[in-house]
Amino acid sequence: MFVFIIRRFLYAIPIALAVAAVCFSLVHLAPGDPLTAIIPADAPAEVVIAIQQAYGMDRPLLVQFGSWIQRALQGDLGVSVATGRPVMGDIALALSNTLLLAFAAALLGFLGGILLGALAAIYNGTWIDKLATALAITGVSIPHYWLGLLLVIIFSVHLDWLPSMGAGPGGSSDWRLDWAHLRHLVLPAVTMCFIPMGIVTRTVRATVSEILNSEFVTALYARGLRGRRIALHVAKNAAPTVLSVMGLQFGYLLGGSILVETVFSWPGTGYLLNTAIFQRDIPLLQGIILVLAMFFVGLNLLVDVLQTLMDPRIKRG
Amino acid sequence: MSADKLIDVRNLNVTFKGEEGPVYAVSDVSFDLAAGETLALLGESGCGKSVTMKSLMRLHPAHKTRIEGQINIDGVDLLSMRPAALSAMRGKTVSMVFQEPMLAFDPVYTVGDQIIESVMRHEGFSRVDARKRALEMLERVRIPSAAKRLDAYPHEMSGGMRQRAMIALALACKPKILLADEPTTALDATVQIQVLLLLKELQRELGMSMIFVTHDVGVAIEVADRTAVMYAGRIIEEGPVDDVLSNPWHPYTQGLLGATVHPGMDRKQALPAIPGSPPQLTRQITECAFAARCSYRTDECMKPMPAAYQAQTRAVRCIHALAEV
Ligand SMILES: Nc1ncnc2c1ncn2[C@@H]1O[C@H](COP(=O)(O)OP(=O)(O)OP(=O)(O)O)[C@@H](O)[C@H]1O
Ligand SMILES: [Mg+2]
Repeated sequence: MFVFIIRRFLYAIPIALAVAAVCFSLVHLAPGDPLTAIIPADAPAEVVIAIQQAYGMDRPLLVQFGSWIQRALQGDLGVSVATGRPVMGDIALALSNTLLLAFAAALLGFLGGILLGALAAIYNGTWIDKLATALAITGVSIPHYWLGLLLVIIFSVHLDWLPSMGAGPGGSSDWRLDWAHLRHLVLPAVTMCFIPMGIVTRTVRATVSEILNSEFVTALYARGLRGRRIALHVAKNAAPTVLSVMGLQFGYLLGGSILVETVFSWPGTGYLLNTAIFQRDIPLLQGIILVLAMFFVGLNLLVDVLQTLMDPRIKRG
Repeated sequence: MSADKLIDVRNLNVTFKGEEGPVYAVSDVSFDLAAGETLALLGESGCGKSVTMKSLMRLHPAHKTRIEGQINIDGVDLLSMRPAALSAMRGKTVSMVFQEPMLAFDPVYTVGDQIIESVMRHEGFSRVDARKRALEMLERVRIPSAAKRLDAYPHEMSGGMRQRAMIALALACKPKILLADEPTTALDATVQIQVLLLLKELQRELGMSMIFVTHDVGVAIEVADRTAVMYAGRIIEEGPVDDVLSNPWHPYTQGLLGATVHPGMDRKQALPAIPGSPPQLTRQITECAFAARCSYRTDECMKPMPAAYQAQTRAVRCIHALAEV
């Protein structure tokens, strides 16, 4: 088992490198000089060259990539072109906010999805099933920035129950576990939970109803088991499939919240990414993409390992 | 109803409420089983053997199935039992060995854990004692290096070993009645015989009654005292296994025997298969269900069937056989 985990980990390294190369080159493939944002259009040639040298952009691309990677491994992602602050600090703060939002949305979405999916499977074909399935389809189909705006109009503008902007009172971006901060989390988390909830509902429904129809469940009843014991067997059988879908959804929650974070001015990576794009802040942009991609790779690794630990039929090789 | 019967089934009808209309899977089935007795339920694929067996433990999903008639298990009326009593009976009074052991084990639990779970449920044992019982059972069904196999997953065992483990699981709580639904059909011929002999031996040791489902006439002769032959959801002939199979009264039983190689038969003789195929069960059949394939058919056969004709230890549902006897 230990060998298996080590091997999976080693497999992840070339993937991570390739991902890094792609996000490094993406920025350089985009049209326009990355430094145009801070160099005045009428700057003399010597100044332009001096600035390019300061940011290391006069060297060959491959060398730039090598040193970028080397520094990235040490936690140094360069300095923001727009603010002059180290990129890593901004990203770390944004990442903690995004993680918080993703966890909250995942908690809501996964719990809701498991509940709805299990109910739909148990009451297969009845109105409960139809209602749960309809909710799942709605959740997946509604554009979530639209849903976000709708929630803001209802709960912030009309009812004035919940704040619609920022992560804490007075636009503070460091987070604490109290109601003043939690209130800010509610609307964006609810907005974001609908897609994972819909997808988890569908997955759980399909998986559980297939398991419930299998011969071994009849055999469990034939042994005199019922209720919670049967549920335990079903859960253990469904877990690997459901877990891998949840892992993927969590990855999407981490990376895919640009629109929602923008709607709610939530100071996370999506919001930061948005800022970086509009300010053409290349080091910041590269840094965010790299960190998000690494999260995805790491998450996949984790799901793989957990899945193998849980399903004895998967060959560990 | 006689009280000395462990199983007494009267006029059992099982209907599935399918999406394309009802399926009349079992119609007007009656049989009984005495203590220590083995009944072979004989019939070709799809005639309702498994449906009948599952009815004896009420394993069909309640909302999709209609069960009518009388089923008495060990003196208790099965169809009016409360859920708690029902589940206490399942696996304790009556136990089932399934046709496909690979499908009947939970794939993500070890074999040992599944036996332990069952023993803890019915015998109120601690985990440690239940594990001891599980090991004892695996040794009893002669699984080599049983202690190691306790922690094996079902997919890590061979087909024959898996079925032995299934038998160990079914017998772990010492049931009075064992329902064996084609326990050897999925196995190789040599393994089949071993498992069959093992079952017979364990039955004797534990003093169980057994219903043994099979479509193999040879197997029925080997294991059973009595046999009931099923066709299209009904029992069409019943009696002591030697009598019925050496002198079948029903044309279908005769055909079934004709389609089986048995000792003393001329090897060069072609096996006469019964022409045609069984009827669809989507219609309630009141006439003789075998009439369409029967070479003795007359107009009488298409009229509603009379009750089974009883003659001492035997019974048959055929108006022509009735005339013959
Ligand atoms: N849940 C169900 N819903 C609808 N029809 C069913 C259901 N279960 C069984 N049947 C039908 O009932 C009939 C009898 O099935 P059963 O499984 O009892 O056959 P069998 O005698 O055990 O055959 P085999 O030897 O292949 O196991 C078949 O026609 C089958 O299609
Ligand atoms: Mg069957």
